[in-house]
Amino acid sequence: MSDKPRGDSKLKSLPEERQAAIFEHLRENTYRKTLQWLREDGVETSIRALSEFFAWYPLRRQFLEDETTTEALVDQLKKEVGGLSEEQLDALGQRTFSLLAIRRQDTNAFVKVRSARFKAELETAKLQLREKAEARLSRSLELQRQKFRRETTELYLKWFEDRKAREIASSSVTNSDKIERLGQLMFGADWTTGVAATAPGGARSGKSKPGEVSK
Amino acid sequence: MTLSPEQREQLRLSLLRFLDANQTRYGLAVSLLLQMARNEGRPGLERDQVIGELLYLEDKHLIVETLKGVSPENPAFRITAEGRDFVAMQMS
Repeated sequence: MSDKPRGDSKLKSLPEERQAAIFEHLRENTYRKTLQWLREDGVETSIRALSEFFAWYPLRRQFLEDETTTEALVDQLKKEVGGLSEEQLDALGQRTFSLLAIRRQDTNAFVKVRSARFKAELETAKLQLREKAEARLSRSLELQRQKFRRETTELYLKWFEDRKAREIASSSVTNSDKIERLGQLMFGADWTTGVAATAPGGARSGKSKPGEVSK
Repeated sequence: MTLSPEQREQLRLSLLRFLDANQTRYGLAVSLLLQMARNEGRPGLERDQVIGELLYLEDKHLIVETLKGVSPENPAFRITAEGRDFVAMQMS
């Protein structure tokens, strides 16, 4: 037999209460934290051994619980049905123990499948919500664009009727000068000289309302 | 489900792990071991494949059949001391 140290044997040979405490600690903390916690208590082990212990401990507990139930049933049977040999009782016990363990495994598998299905359904629902939100946003952007187009058209009609604006528009100055002068006319003090227009709908947050015609 | 040599090795280790967790006087039945192995992500695993690996482990003296002869249609196994040492070495 090899002399290689047994990493998990230390944990598995600790008293039951200590094992239960380690399992609880593992449930609420990382392997690294548990490793440190154990080291402070003088128990040297490894992450791999802790991981093995974490899988081993609940299974061991399950089997012990199933054994207790089986023993109780076999004892009861022994009292109620006479003439059963030890061999027959052992066989009955074995069968009962297997059935209990299988049933529990079934439940575990069922819970796992159900959890996985629930998670998948949740993800699908989240995706649908995200798609709906994106569609709403897209509709809202299109409405904003349409509103901007309408306001610009209205504004054009209003300013087209303004004499001073028409004079500037039909003057022989450069296009940028026309923009500058029309801007000052339309927005007054809110107009910032030399700043180019950016996004539709208003990088310039002027106080003037759209369509305000000078008197 | 066809098992590659690596998958068979993993299956043997899984079976030993399950048997190692059993500290009762009863053995673990093949049907239970099959179910546990399937639950670990081998849904297509068959009973004969599990029996084949159990026989291999038995030949290696890592496990023994319990109640041999009493219930041959429902074989059950438990781990030996050699098997426990083997598991401990694998996990350390």
